[in-house]
Amino acid sequence: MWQILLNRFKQGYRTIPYPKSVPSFPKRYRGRPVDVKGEVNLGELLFNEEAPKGDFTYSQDHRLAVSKKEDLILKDNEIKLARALDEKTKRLFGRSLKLRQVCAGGCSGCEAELQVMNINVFDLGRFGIQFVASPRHADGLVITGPVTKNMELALKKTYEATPHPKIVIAVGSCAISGGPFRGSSEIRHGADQVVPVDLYIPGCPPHPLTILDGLLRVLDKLDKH
Amino acid sequence: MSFEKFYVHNGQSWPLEQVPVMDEASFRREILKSCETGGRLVNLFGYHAQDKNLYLCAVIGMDQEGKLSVFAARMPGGQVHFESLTPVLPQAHLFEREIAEQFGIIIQGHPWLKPVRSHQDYSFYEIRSEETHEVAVGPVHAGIIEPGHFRFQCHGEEILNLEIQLGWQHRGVEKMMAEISLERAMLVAESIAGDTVIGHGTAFCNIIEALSDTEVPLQAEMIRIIALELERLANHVGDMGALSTDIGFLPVSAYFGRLRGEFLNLSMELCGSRFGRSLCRPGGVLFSLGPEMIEDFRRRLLKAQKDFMEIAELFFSTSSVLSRLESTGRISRQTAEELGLVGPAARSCDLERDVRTDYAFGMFRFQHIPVSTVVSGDVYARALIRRLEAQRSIEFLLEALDQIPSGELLKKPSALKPSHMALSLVEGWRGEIAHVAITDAQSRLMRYKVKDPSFNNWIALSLAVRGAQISDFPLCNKSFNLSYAGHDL
Amino acid sequence: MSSLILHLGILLAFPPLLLGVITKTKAFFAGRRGAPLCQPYYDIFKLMRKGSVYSVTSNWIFRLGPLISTAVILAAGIVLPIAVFKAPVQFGGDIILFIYLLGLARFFMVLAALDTGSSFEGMGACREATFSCLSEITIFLNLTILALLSRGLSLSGIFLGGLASSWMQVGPVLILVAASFFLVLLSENSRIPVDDPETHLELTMIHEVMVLDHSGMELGCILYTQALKLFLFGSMLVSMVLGLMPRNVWGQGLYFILGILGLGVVIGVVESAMARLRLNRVLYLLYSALIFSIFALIVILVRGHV
Repeated sequence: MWQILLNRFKQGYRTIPYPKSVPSFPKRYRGRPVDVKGEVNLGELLFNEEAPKGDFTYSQDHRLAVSKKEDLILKDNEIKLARALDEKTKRLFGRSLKLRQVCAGGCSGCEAELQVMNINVFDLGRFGIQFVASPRHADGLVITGPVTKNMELALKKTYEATPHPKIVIAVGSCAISGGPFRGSSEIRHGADQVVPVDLYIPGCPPHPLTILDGLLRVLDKLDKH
Repeated sequence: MSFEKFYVHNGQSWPLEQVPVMDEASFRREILKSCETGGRLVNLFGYHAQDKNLYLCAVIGMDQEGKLSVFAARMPGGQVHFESLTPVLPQAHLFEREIAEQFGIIIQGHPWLKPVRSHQDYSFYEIRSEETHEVAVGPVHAGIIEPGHFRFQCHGEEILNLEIQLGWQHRGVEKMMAEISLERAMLVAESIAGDTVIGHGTAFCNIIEALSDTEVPLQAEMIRIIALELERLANHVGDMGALSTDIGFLPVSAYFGRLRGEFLNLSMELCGSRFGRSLCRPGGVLFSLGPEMIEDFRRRLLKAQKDFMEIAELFFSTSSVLSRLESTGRISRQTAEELGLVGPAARSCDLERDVRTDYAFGMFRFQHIPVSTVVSGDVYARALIRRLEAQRSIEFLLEALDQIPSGELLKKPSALKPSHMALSLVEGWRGEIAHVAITDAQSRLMRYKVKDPSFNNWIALSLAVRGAQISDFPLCNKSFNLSYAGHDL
Repeated sequence: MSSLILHLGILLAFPPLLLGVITKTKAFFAGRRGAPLCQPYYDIFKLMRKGSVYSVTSNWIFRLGPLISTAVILAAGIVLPIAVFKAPVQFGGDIILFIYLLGLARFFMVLAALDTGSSFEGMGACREATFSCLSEITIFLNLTILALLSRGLSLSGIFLGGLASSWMQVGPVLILVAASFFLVLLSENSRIPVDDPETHLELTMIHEVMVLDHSGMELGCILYTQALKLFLFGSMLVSMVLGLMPRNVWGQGLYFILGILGLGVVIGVVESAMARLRLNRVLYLLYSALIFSIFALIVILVRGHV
């Protein structure tokens, strides 16, 4: 036991003071597209290095979450970031939001970034947000993956098992539009083809801070912290 | 009837007509003979050639000698019957089920002929008794994890049988690869399994380079294996953290989790993505490591190495941890060999199998990482092997940072050769990744076969938990940590 | 009447804070800030306002089980003195009532779990029933020993000064009883090393798996009941160790609060320092608790303290 205490003091306290201060991203990080000529669909963008082709450049801005699918289409440098939930739902979930994650065919990239949010660097728990084991205990679903035909029924049943009121969050390019697998006959091309979605978080996979930013925006907690 | 064996190298392409073709009986005999004399089934798949005939192709690997042999059989038209290899050669079981599902061939005598990725007409094995009960887990199960269905037949707390049904994540990768452009195919290859981006990405790049005779610059080869080892490191450390969470040893799981984040951040510095996306492209890599970055990496790796040693020491010396890990989920060496396991799962059963040594590719022809093995084959062995491999990877990375050659980063590949076949094996962090591609006469990819190491290893989980306590299942599952998406494609 | 209201007030308001303290301690050891201290309160309030989803295979037992369980444990709380306040209901022999009320609550939770027809919950109910065989005997024996020492069969008599002289005379025996009590506390309230309250692995859970299908208000009741049960056990342990006297209300009350919060920290430290035991090893833990109790009882009887 003393070993553990000793290690604790060596490892120190690691939670980053987000959202009070945003850590700097490396130079090569591919964040929000800016200087857009024409339009860019964030839901279909895979954030790979070759994507711009002269039509836009990547910035260091990690804030990408939006509430409506139309808001994913960037025409100029403005982005309509996610709005908070309505007053009643915000008061209900403001301090306690339990989420059930459903992997509907994801490659495990988005899942890995979601798992990372519980650890001490991002510490989702301090906002009152937690991932739970049963959809009956949950207030919302976090869906990743393009919704394969095999997972469609499981996703519908999980949605029905979640009590009212509930929110649905689509994380990653696959859950919004099918991602790299767009055009395949085995997928449904996005979570909103099966259940109504309240928050879209683009990326392939989105950085944990992008996901955290989206969650805090929806709960209207960005100013308070 | 013997034939001239056709040997190939990892990362090579050859004209399709050079592959020896025989009838199915000889094909079957040849596979069995090769596997009796030290060979292992690396891949077994079907394809429709341009003459519309159905062929079965086998790739046999002789690990000790480092040789790969390829041969095929032409199937007759109409309803095809094939006598199953599985009763004599268990490692062929899943390959045969896949062929039956994809091409409608009837595999006679297969002891477990069920669909691999389709869920129509799937019936589970049952035990009907007053004293046993059946538990079904998934596809939506546990915490934040990919979907899979596990059906247990239990007597009280003891598992009598576990049947695993996968296929929930079938996105149609192989079909897409034959239909889309090469640029999109690269992105699909990176997304086969999101935690093995470099593994599958490198395998795809090697295929395209082999098919277009492109010589990759040495600097790119070095950066590729640096990224591969970084991926191995991040995932092994993450796995140890996940094992700690599953046994409830929470502070250590938090430390491992943070450490994994450090390695993911190194990857983000290198190529802008925590998982290595957009790094490997056919012909080379897109990003280089400047001198400042090398210094920064070295400093961070040294600190991470020190942290890792301390936390791993704490993990492995806590008695409550050891009592959970030892003797749980044991697989014998003989079972591992019969099933054709690969990767750390095989190496923790005392089987020395590592593509980096046996079929060295890229820079691994010049750089050598010693192979780690552990004897006991239980959860403890699989945890220990991750520790050993992680240590070796960090040591390798610290040395490799000083040895990056200068030169170009990328050589744009020319057109693909028509009617050729290519093979690429990569030692991903879960084990042997095998990609095989065949082009048609118009130089388009006609058939792309992907084999993730999870394809070989999922059966091992079923066997490891037989007779174990059902509450130990999550621990066994995590100790293998196989890819659902890599299996389902 | 006012003592009843005060008693109920403490029982309703205080227990979730204990859960918050344990979570904060564990977060400290993991190097993060963790959920706020009042998180359990936020969770319970939110759940009370949420809707529920019921399986088509369940009936009234599933819906009422958690509510009955909460009511019964509250009733058990009324029989137990808290800090230096006498229990509103006390009579000779209320120890038996207390133990049986706890057993009744467990009975209804197990029934509700079995009602869903899910194999997980069946397994959890089975495990719960198995472990409770040992833990109920141990609690009974411990309370018997304390009753013998305080020469009365009422909980109020035991925990309000009845043990004052006992620490001087048979201290080591009381240490054994306290250790046994602590082990049973860990088992009954599903803490590590017996069970991981934060785990997401259904196959490994004991208590949590029984409540996987509950939602909304029932889940809120279950969450509160967990906190209350932990508080009752903790209260008994702390009162026993501190040997509280009803004389000095404020001083002794403060000791009690510090003791309970300290117990929360100790549980958090134990949870952080150990991994979970394998399920069959949990039985050995409970056997040790039982053996401590039996040994302590034998010493008391032989010493002629009766």
